[in-house]
Amino acid sequence: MVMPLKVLIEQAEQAKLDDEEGVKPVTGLLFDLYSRWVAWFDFYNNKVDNPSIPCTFSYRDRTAKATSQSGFEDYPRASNVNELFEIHLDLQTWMIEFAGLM
Amino acid sequence: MQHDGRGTFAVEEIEDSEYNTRIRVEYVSLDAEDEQDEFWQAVFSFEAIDKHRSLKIVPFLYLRKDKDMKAHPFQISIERDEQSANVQAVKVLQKSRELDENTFQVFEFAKVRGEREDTSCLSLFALNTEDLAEFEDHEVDKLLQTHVASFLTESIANEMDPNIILLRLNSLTPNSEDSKSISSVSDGEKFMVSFTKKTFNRKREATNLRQIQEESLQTFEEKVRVKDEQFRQEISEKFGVTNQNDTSFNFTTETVSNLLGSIGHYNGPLKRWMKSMGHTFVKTDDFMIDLLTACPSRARYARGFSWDEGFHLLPICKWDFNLCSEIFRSWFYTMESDGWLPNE
Repeated sequence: MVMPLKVLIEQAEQAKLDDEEGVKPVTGLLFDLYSRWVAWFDFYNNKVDNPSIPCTFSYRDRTAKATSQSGFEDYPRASNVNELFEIHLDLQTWMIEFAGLM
Repeated sequence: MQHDGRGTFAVEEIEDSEYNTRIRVEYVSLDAEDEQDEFWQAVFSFEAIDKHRSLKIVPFLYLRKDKDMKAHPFQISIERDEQSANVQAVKVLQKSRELDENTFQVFEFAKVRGEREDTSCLSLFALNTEDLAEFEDHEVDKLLQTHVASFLTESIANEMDPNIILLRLNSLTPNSEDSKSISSVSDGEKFMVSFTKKTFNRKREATNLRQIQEESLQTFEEKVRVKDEQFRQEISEKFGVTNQNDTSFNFTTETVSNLLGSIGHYNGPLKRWMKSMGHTFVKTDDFMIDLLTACPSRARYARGFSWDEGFHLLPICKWDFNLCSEIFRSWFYTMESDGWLPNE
């Protein structure tokens, strides 16, 4: 969801340059949903952060076979679950994108 | 395949070589007189892929009451053009308590091209069965298995207050003086469905409504041609594929149409992965959640998935901002109070 949000904001910035009126539907959507996006970012930033190294993240409640909170449920990860000490590269990348967006 | 995702235009072709059949479905929503009214038409065409062999298919269309009949009650009355078991045109009137007193939903079904012989027909099968409540919308085939013998051998099984109506498109071949057997739909046959939702002054006006007439197919085909041209032009402009003869244009049309055509409303419980409950999905609440989402792989993964929806929204937002905006809102309104957004 982060990627289309970024595209929408880019479109809004471009539309603002082209047509002041044309940007209103996009800013309306952003305004309506902004508080929810903040809550969503806070959820990831506070609930899946990794206390062992600042600003790192990992999915919680995973098993050795599946990471159900992830979009890559069956992506191979460490066979030993070491919650709070492991960092998940895909989530780390999403959080860099997400933080940049916010 | 062509689909605009707005419910105004769609064309789809399905080829089944095992049964030597090509099915083409064309759908156009038409401008209604009043904003509250609805009017759409669809044509189903059946062709033999190999013209030297016959088709081997007995298709059917069905219309059923909602699974939750208490929440959405409506009445169905069936009127035939001919007082015969084998009908050439069928009309079904629906009236919902949610609608105004004289607002009706009128479905018309008719054969619009093909051999006009008595043996070729549209057969009606109306049933009131308690079994229906047990099946989801997409599971009507399971219901048919229960009643398959009568459905395939009888021309009609009528009930006064049916909760499912099936229209079988086929030929009836005389076996002997007394019995007939069902054979496949004939090559080149076309069937039209017309839907009108409108407020009438009297019920009689709804009963007398005739949207499918002699020239309807020709008018419909012209509307499809115009919509097809507009659709191609919009694909060209929005996705930057200007050469409509290029394979990249067909590729873009197919993939975008498949995505847009998969957008639908879903309703169900919200489940959250719980480690404390033994690593399983647990319902968060008893109430149901509504979701508008794309679901392009319905056969294998018939539900919305928030991670994939991010990728789906990239072309959808390029195609239609209103559609994009509604899907974004739908997903984010499912958010729990702690900021958790459902995965699926």
